[in-house]
Amino acid sequence: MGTASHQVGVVAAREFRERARRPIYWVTTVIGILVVVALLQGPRLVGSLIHPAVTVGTVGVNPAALRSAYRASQSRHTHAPDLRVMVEPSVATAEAQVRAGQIPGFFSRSGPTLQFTGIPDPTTSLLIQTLNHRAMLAHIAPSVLAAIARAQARYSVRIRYLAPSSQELAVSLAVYGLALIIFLMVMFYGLLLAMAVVEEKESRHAEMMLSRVSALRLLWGKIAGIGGLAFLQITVWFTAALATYPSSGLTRIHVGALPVGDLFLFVLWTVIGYLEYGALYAGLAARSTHSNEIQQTTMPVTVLLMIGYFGAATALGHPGGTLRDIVMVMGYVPFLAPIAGFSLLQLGPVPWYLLAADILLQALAIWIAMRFASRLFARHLLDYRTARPRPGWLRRRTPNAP
Amino acid sequence: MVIQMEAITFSYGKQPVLEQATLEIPPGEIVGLLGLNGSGKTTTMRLIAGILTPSRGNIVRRWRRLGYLPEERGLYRKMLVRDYLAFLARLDGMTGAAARSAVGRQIERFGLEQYRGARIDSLSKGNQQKVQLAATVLSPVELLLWDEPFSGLDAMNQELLRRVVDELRAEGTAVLLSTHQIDDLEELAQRTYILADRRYHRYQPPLTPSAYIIETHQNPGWAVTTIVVAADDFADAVARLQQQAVVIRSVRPENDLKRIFRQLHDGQGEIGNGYR
Repeated sequence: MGTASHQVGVVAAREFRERARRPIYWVTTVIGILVVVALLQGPRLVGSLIHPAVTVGTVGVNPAALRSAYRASQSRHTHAPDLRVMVEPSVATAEAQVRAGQIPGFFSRSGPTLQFTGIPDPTTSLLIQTLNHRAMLAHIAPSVLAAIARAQARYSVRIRYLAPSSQELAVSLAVYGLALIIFLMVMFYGLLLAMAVVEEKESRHAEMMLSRVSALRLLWGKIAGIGGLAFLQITVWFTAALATYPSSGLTRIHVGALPVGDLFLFVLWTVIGYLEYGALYAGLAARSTHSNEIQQTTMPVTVLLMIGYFGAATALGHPGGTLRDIVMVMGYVPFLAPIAGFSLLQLGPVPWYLLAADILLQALAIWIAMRFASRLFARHLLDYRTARPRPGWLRRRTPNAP
Repeated sequence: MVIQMEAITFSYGKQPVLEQATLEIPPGEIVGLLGLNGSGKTTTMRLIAGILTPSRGNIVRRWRRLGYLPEERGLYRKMLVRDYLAFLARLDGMTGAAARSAVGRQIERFGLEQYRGARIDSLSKGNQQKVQLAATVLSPVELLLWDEPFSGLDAMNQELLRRVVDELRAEGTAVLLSTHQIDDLEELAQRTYILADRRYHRYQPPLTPSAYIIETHQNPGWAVTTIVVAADDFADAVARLQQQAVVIRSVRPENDLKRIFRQLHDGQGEIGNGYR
């Protein structure tokens, strides 16, 4: 018999090679690349077709000056939307409109400088950039222009945020999107793992395998091989995203500035999630005799995964009070933690010692889940009868059943 | 002994399969396992392979490596024959080069040369079975558990398999053969365990039978007459039959495997001469 690592490696290599050979794997990989490219390039392409307009407010600043500055900027950006300027009666009214999401922001005077209040979108960012660079505001106080000229200042517009900055917003959206990817990857590859286990039963090959390799090693090999496929696919999609991003027209939203630490945590929580749920999916799938029973037998795992994802999403949608506390606790509960733990980044950085404790807890949970799954795996892998719908704890114990 | 099962008790839930059953397999011996459907042959194989654990009793295993052809056998049907065998050889701990060499040897031994690069699901059932048999002997093994190895093989391939069994015996490999074909066991096995009443009953072909059963008929197609003669009278009886121009259809020891098997399952079996 080979050593444990050798046998796990041989099983993993076979799982990886055989599944990577199947056309469906590459079809889904290519579809994933197309989706990534479409998400990144879509807004630019759509924008070039429908030529939208953006409305900004102004309180005490000449609208014509703003339009003139924006027109000047459009010579450099042919696909920029039209700019509409709405004169607001007061700062309070304008702020209310920004908070209601009706306008991205408004321009007003603040002492000797011009102030933009709101959340600069790509259009208003372009306008602010132009105002800064060219100081074209003929209608603002001469003293301001003189001050700019004297200082050769590049920045004449001060931005006051009424909501998270575009950068913060981008990071928050990225965390949300990556949590969704963790959820989808864990569910998709967990089910693929379940199918691999049932195929082993359907082909009646399990018995021959179990005479050569223990159930635990076989389980680890399958988890490692299919996990390798998952991470190859993620890597291909991320590479496609990185290659397409610079030409996407979204570079003013600095998604690329997502902290490297957060990306590391994304990989870490994806691995933890895959191992925790992979063990459960594989163990429960061994109770199925045919692939059409997989959904039924693995339903409890899928429900648990959904509770983790939607629970975290709901709590983070109302980040205050009890719901915030709930998501903080979920971040440490095994099987809920992979998604909730990563989503905690939306509430701010997590201290390293808490993260380390969380990872240790999850490692323990993975160990327990693997032992549990390998027992289920060994017990049901040779049972070719149709799985009964009643859960195991309601059935009479059959300690020696294969 | 390569394997010693002492007073084994095993049940599936409340359904007992074995009770105080004892079996042993000496090294280099071909041992048969005979029983009706559902009598526990497959369970015996799984217990020996360590896939199942007995409720009571002790199993002493004195082998380093085991080859197992289960009754519920399958293959990774989308793999090529050589890749599948190499995968199993690597699982046994071989290096890539050693695995390729072992695969080449067994492919030749089982006459699978022309299917080396074929996908398994393109092979006939008999050839798939030969791949499965080859998979059990990729590594040098001390004990082989073959559950119904002859089923699905044509006459030529059954002959090939008998030759392989002889080779394995010569190499010192013990083989536990489970089959419904009593003739095969009579030809190959040095001892046979018959599973009846949840126990193993050991049968060893008598070296000096006390009596023989002679089946005769007057002409081909006529009714068969069976006579039992004592061993001392056997030569005279045969001479008499030949004088009467009676055709001797078969001669076998009185306590042959078929008879003992039938007796055991009819509830007439007793531990005595020829089996225990």
